[in-house]
Amino acid sequence: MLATSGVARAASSGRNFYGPTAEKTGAFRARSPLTNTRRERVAGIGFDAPDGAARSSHFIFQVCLPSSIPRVYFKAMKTGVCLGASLVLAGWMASCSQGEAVVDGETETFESGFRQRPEQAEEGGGGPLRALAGAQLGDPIPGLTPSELAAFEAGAVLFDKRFTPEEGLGPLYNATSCSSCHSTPVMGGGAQLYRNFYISMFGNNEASLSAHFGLPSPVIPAFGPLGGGAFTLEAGRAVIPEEVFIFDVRTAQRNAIPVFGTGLFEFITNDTILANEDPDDTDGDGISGRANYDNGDLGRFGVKAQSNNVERFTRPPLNNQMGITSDPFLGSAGTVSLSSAVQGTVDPDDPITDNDGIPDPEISMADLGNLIAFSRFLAPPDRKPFGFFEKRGEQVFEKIGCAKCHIPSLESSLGPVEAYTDLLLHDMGPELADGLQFGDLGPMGETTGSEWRTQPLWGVSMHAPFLHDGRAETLQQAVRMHGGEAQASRDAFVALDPNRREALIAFLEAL
Amino acid sequence: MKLAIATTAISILVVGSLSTSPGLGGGDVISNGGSKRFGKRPSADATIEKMLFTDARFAEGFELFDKPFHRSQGLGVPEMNADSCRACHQDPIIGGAGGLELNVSRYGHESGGVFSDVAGGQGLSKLRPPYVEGREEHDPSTANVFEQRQTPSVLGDGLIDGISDATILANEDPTDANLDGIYGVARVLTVDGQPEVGRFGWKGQIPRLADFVRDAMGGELGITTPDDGRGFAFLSDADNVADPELQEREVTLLAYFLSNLPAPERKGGTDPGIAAGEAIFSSVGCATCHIPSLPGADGPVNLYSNLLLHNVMPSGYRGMAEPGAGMGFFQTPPLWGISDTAPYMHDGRASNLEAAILAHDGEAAGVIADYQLLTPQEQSDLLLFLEDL
Repeated sequence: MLATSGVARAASSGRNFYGPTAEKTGAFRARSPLTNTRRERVAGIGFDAPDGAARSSHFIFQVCLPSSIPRVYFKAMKTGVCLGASLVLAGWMASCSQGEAVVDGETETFESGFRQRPEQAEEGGGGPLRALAGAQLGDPIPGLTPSELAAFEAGAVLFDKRFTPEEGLGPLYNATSCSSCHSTPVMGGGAQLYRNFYISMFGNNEASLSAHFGLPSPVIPAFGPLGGGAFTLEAGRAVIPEEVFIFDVRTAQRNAIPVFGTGLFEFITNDTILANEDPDDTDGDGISGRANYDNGDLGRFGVKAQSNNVERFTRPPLNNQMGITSDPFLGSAGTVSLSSAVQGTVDPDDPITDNDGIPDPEISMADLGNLIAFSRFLAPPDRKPFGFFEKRGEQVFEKIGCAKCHIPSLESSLGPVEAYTDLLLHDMGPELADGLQFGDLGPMGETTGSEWRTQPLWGVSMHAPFLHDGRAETLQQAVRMHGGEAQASRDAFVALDPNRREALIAFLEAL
Repeated sequence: MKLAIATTAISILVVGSLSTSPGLGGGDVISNGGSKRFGKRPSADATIEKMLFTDARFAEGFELFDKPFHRSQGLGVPEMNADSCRACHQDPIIGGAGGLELNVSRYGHESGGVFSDVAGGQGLSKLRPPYVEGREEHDPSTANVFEQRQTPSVLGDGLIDGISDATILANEDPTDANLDGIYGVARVLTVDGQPEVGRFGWKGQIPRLADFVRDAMGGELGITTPDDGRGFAFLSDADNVADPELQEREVTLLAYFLSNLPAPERKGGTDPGIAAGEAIFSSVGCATCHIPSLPGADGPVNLYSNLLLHNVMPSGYRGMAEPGAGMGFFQTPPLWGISDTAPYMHDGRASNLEAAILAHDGEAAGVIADYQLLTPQEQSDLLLFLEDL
C-alpha cells in the first residue's frame, strides 16, 4: 500500500472503517467505497443462479468446490424457486431429512440440510462452518441444498428491502429495512453509532418494569406518535416521558449486533450451553454465568440472550423496529433444542398485528421464511491466519481469563462453532448496567440491567462501535469497560505490558 | 408437504465488475443494474473511483465525508443526528440522499398561522451519544408543530454553487406578473452584511457549499468548525472537546470534495416514451419551476430546478417557517438523479415518483390538475422521462 499520498489514505480509510478482517476476507475489496454498506451485500451475493440452475443437482458441487467458484454474481432469480425453498425450511427444521415443495408447478423432492454433509463443509477455508474458501463475508454457510441457497438469496433481497408506509412500514418505526442497521461492514453486520436506537421502560424497581403504553415493546420508535393515533409525518415523534404515574422511567440505547454466523447457535444444544452455567460461582473464580429464557425456552440470541431461535429474533424486531407485522412461520414448532423479551414479548404462535390500516400480516409467510433463511444461513466471518503475534495474543486471552466467558468454541450438531461466547448472561457491573430488566415472562426479575450475554467475538473488529450501546470506540476501550464478573480479567488486561496488550488486540482483530 | 408458489418478481440485480482500482485491491465496483434500489448509474461509481486515484484532495475529502466521528473527536453537541456525512448521504452512492428512517425532525410553535421558534431552535436531534443519559425531547406544552426533513442529495452541488445570484433572481415572479399562478421567490440571506441568494437546503437557507459544510457539521454531527465570518459555523458546543473540532483545512477539503462530486448523469434510455415524456414535462408546466437547465460557471447546469422557493403544500399545511421562507415554502428540488432518491418531497411523504407528483399542491395545483387530465399513456411517459434523469 502506498503510504504517503492522499490517494493511499483514501484507500486505507476503507480499511479503518470496515476493519482489517473485512479487508482480509475480501469484503472490502468487493465493496465499492462509494456505495453505502447496506446495499453492498446484495450485490455481492455470489452465486450464479440463472433460471433453473439452483435446482440442478450439479449446483451443490459447484458451491462446495472452492476452485470452481468464480466471483460470479447473482444475476437472476425466480421467485418460485425462492418460495419453495423457504417453505422447505419447515420440513428441514422438523425432520432434517427429506421434503418436497411445489416449485414452478412441479413437485420437487430435496434433501434438506447440510447437517447430512459435514464432509462437504470441510471444504470451508476457516473451519468447517465458516464461509467457503474464497467466499466473502455475507456468503452462506457451505453445503446448502439448492433450495436452501435459493431461500438464502431471496432472503438477502428481503433483508435489504426498504419498506414503504404503503407496504406496512409503521405506524412506529426506527428503520425501513433490516439492512438499515445490520450493515457494517456489509449487509448482515452491525450498526454504526448513528443507527443506535432507544429502549425505555417504567416501573418502581428493576424487577417490575413495563414497556410504555402504546408500544409493543421497550423499543422506542424514532418516528411515529407514542400512544397510537393516526400516523403522519407531521405528527411529531414519540416522547419518552420522564415519569409514568409515580414510576421512574429508565431509558438506554442499543447498538445493533451482527447476524453473521448466529444461525449456528440454533445447532448448539441446551445441554452444551447449560454445561457452562455456574450461577452460584461454585468454582469460586468470580464468574458465574447463567442462561436466559424465552417463553420458557433457552435463549441464544440478542444482547440479553432473550430469543430462542432465529424466527423469534426476526418477527419482534420486524415489528418493533419497522412496524412490519407477521404471522408465525414455524412458531413454537421452531423451538430449538426443545428443552420475555427485550425485543417484545410475543408468544411464538401468535400473529403480530398493528393499526396502520395496512392488512396484516404485512410480510407474507414466504417472505418471512426467506428472511429467516438468510439469517440462519449467513456464514460466520472468516478468520485471519494467526501469526506469532496473534498466537501470543491468544495465549494472553486465555491466561487473563477472557476465555472463561468468551469460550472459543461450542460444539454443535454441525461441528464446532468458534464464536468466542458461552451464550450466557454475566453481571458486567454497574458501569455497564442500564437499569432495564428483561427476560422471561415467568419469574420476573430474571435478567438485571447489569447482565449481558457474552458477545460473540468472531469478526468483532469489523463492526465498531462496541458494547451494547456502542459506547466503546475501539476494542481496547471495550475491554477496559468490562466490569463486574469481568473485573479481574479487565484489571489483568490493564496491568499487562503494552506489548502483550497489543498482541491481545491483534488476536481479537484476527478473529 | 405441498406449498404454493409465489408469483411476484424479485428484483434482478446485475453487478458490473470494474478493475480500475488496484489500490483498493482490484475491487469490484458495485455498480448498477436493473433493480430499482441498486443500480442505475454504471458510470457514477467509476467516475468517482477514478477521481479518488487521480485527485489527492478529492480523496481526502472523501475520507472525511465517509468517516464516523468519535466522541473523542468532538461528536455531538452532545446531541446529534449522525456520526458521519455518509450516514445520511448515501443513496444511491456516497453523496446521495437518504431513506425515510434517516429523516431529521424539526419542531416549533404555531398559532393562528403564525410560526414561532421554541427555545433552543427548530432542530430536534435524533440521538445523544450512549454515554449521555436520555434523549432530547420536545415539550408538548410549547411545541405543537413538527416537520420531518429528508436528506437531499449533494451530488452535483458544486455545479449549483457556480450558478450566479443574478441567474437565480431572473426567474423570480413574486407578484405572479404572468398570471400563471406560480410565483417563485429567491431565498435572500444577509451574510456579513450583504444580501446573498440561498442555494442549498429545503428552505434555501444556505448560500454556498462551504457554508453548507459548516452548517451540517455543526447541526447534524455536533462538530464545531472555525469561524469564517459568514455565520454558518458552529463555534462551540457543550461536549468536552476543544473547539474547533474540525480544522479549516478539513472544512476546505470537504467543500472541495463536494464541489467536485459529479452530478447525476442522464441514463440516456432509448424508449420513445422518454422523449414524449420530456415534451409533456414542459407542456404540462412542470418545467416552469423545474427549469431543465440554468447557466453555471462552466456551461449549462442541467439540474431541473430554478432554486426558488414555492409554496407547494396544501392549504392549511403546518410546518416550519424561517424569515423569508414561510410555512409550506420549499426550494424547488433539483430532479437530476431523482429516480435513485425515493422517498420524495421535503419529508419523504411520497414513496414513489407518481405519488410525488400528486403530493404537489399550492402553486403547483394547476399543473397537477393538468397532469391528471393526461392520458394514462402520457402520464406513464412522463414517469419514464423522470426515471431517465
